[in-house]
Amino acid sequence: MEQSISNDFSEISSVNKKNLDQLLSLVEELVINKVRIEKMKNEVSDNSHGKILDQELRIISEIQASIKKVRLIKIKTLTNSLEDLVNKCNTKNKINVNFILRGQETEIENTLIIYIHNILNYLIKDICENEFIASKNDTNHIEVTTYSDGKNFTTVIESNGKGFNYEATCDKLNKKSLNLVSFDEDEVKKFLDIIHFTNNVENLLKLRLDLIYLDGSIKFESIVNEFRRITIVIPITSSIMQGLLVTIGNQIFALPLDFIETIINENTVKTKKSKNIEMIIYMDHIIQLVRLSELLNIETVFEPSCIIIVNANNKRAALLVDSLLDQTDMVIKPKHSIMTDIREIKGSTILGDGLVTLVLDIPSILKEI
Amino acid sequence: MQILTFLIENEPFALDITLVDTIQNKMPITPVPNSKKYVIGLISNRGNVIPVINTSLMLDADTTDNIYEKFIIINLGNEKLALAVNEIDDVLEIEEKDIENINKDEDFSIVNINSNVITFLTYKQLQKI
Amino acid sequence: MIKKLSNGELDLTVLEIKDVIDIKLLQNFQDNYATGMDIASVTVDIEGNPVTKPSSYTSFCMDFTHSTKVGDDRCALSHKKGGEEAARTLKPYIYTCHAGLIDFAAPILVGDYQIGTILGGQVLTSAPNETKYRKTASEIGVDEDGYVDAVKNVYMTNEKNVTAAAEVLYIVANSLSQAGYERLKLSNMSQFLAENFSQISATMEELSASSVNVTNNQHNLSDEINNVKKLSIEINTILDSIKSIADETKMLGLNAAIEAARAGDAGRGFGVVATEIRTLSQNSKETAIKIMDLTNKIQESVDKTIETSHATLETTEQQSAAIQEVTSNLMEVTTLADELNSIANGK
Repeated sequence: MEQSISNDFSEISSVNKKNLDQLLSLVEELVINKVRIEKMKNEVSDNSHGKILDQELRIISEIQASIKKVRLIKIKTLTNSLEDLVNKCNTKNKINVNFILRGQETEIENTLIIYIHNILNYLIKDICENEFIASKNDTNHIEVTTYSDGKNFTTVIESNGKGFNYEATCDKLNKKSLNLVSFDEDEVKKFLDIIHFTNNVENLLKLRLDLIYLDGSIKFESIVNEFRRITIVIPITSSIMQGLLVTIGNQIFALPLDFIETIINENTVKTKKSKNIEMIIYMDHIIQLVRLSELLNIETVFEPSCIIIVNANNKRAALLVDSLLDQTDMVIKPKHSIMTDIREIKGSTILGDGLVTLVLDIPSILKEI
Repeated sequence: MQILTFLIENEPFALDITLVDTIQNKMPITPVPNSKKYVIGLISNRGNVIPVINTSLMLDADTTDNIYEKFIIINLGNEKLALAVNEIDDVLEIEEKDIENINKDEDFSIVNINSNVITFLTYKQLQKI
Repeated sequence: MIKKLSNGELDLTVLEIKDVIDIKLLQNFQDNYATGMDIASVTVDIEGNPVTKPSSYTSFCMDFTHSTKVGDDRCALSHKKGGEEAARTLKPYIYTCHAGLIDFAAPILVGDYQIGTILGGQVLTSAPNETKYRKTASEIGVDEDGYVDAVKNVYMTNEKNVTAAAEVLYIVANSLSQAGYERLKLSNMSQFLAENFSQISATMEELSASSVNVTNNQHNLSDEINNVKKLSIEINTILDSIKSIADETKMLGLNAAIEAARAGDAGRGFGVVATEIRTLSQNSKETAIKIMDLTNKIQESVDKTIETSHATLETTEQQSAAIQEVTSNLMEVTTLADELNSIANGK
C-alpha cells in the first residue's frame, strides 16, 4: 500500500502549472509548423535537406506524443482518497459498501483530475448517505468506471441502492432525460428534491456550472431498488483541432471540423423562404439556411456558393459561405475578454502565414438562429 | 518612475512603462465581426492573439479615421492589448508626484513635463477597455 | 613706285607715271599725235626727267638749241618753269620758250596729285624776228644762219590751235592716268580683299572647328549632368533606407528601454545603453534628413544647369550652322575677289 502510494505520487511531479501550460501551447503550435515543414519538404530538391526535414517532423511528432502524456494523470491516483472516503462513510453511516474503481489506468488531463475528484467525492458521499439503508445489505456496492475514447472522458457511478422512479421523475419534470446540464437551476433544485438529495445543493449547482463550462454532461438513470447510475461525460479538450477554412466577404474564417456533416454546392439544392427564414431541401430534409455574412455583418462581393451542413447537440443548420479554401490543423486560442459577448466567435488561430484567423463557435451559432 | 510618451493624432499621451510589453510597427489586422467599435481587430505577436484598440476612438476623441503607425502592446492582468498610436516619442523619467489626477477616481490624469501637459493613461482607464 | 600705306591705300607721293600709264601706249599716242598735229611732245616725270622719247622734235630744237650746254640748260629751265606753272594751275600752260617758240605744259594728275608733265609745242604763232634769233644763236653758241634757217622751218599755226592741241594732250594724258590710277586702286583693293577674305576664311574654319568642339563638349556635359542627377537620386534612395533604419533603431531602443524598466535595478545600465541607441538613431535620422536637403538642392541646381546647358547647346548648334553659312558665303566672295583681281591686273 505504502509502496503504491509513493509510486503514485512519484508519478505526479510538482510543476508550475503556468509554465507547463505555456510549454504545452508552444508545443502545440509546432503542429502548425509541421504542416509548413511538410510543404517545404516537397518543394526541396536537395536530398539532404529532405532528410533533415524528415527528422524534424519525427521529432515534432514525438514531442507532441510525450507532451500529451505530461498532461495526463492516471485515475488510480484517486483510488486511495476515494477508498478512504467510502470507508469513512461506512463507519459513519454504519453501512458496508464495497467500493470498486474500474479503469484505473485511464488517463485524464491534470486540469480535470481535481474536478473529477471533487465530483466523485460529492456524489459518492451522497450515495453513501442516502441510497443505502443502514446495515441492510452486505452486497451494497458503488462501482466507479472511468474510460476515455479519445474524444470524451466518461465516469459512471453505479450503485445498487434505493434508486428512484425514472419515468415518474421525468414526467414530473417534463423532461425526456435527466441531464442536469440541460436543466435550469430551478429544475435542478426540483429534481434534487424529488430524489431526496439531502446534501449541499449549492455545491451540486456549482459543479453543474463547471460541467457546463467544460461542455460536459451529467445524466441520472435509475430503476427503483435496483440501481442508480450517474454518467458524467467530459469532452477531452485538445487544443489542436481540425478546421475547415472558408471565405466570407474577403475574410477567412475557420470552422471546427467536428461539427461539420457535409459540404454541398449552393446550386445543387433548392431553397425555400417562409417568413424571412430561408431553408434548403437536402436529402429530403428541410434545413434552415444561415447566411453567415449577414450574421457577422460582413459585406459580400460575390454570391456565396458554398453550403456547409453543421450539426451540434442534435441541431442542424446549413451555413452559407462564399467559398471553400482548405482543411487545416489549428491551435485554437481562447477568446480575449474583450470579445466575450461576440457569441459567434469561439476563438482565434494563427495560420501558417502569420495572420490571425477567427474560429466560429458553431454550437453558439446554432443556438442563435 | 519611467513613462513612455507617444502621440495619438498629434496629441501627446503617456503611460507607465511597467505596463508596456513591447512596441512595434503596425502590421495587418484581422477584423472581428460584431465587435465593439473601438476594436480594430486582432494581430498575432509572439504566438499571442492580441486585440488592437483604436485608441483615439476609445478616448472619445472627435476622430473619424485614426491613421496609426505603431502598436504599443500592454499587459493588463493576464491579457494583452495593442494600442494603435501615431508615433512613439520617448522614455522619460518622472516622479510619481508629477502625475496630477483631474478626476477623483483616477479616470483622467495629466503629467506636466517642461510645461507640456500630457494626458496620462492610468491603469484604471485602460482596464475599462 | 607702287607703295601701299599702312591703311592699305596707295602712296601717291611715290606714284610714277609708269605705274598708272602703259609707257608703250603713251609713246605710241605721243608719236602719232605729234606727227598728226605737227607739234612736238614729250612726257616727263615730276623731276623733269623724260619718261618717253621725244616725238617730232624740230630740227631747230634738236640740232641747234639743245646742241650746246647753254642752250640745253636754258631749255631745261624753260621746261621747268612751264611745268611749275602748269603744276600750280593744274591746267595746261602755254608759254614762249627761251628761244622764242611757243611751248605748253600739261600736268598729268592722279586725283589732285601731279605725277608728271606732258610737254609739247615747238611752234610759232607769228613770223619770227630774225634779229632776235641771231642774238639767241650767238648767246647759246650756234651758227646764226643755220639757226635762222631752222626757225623758218618751224611750223606756223595760230594760238587757237595751240590751245586746242594742249587741251587734247591734257585730256588724253589725264584720262589715261586717271583710268590707270583707278585700275591700280581696284587691283589694290581686290588684292586686299582677297587676302583678308582668305584670312577670314581661315579664321572661320577654325571657329567652325572649335564650335563643333563646343557642341561635342556640350553633349558630354549634358551626359555628365544627367549622371550627376541619377547619382543624386540614388543617394536619396539610400537615404530613405537610412531613415527607415533609423526608425527601426529607435523602436529597438524604446523596446530595450521597456525591457530595462521591467528588469528594475538590474536593467539600469541597459537602460542607459537604450537611451544612447535612441539618441544615435535620432542623430542618424537628422543627418539623413540634412543630406536629403542637400541632395534636393543639388537636384534643383542640376535641373537648372540642364536647362542652361540645353539652351547653350541650342545656341552653339545655331552658331555652328551660322558659321557654316558664313564660310560658304565667304568662299563665294573670295572667288569673286579673285576674279576681280585678275580683271584688275590682267587682260
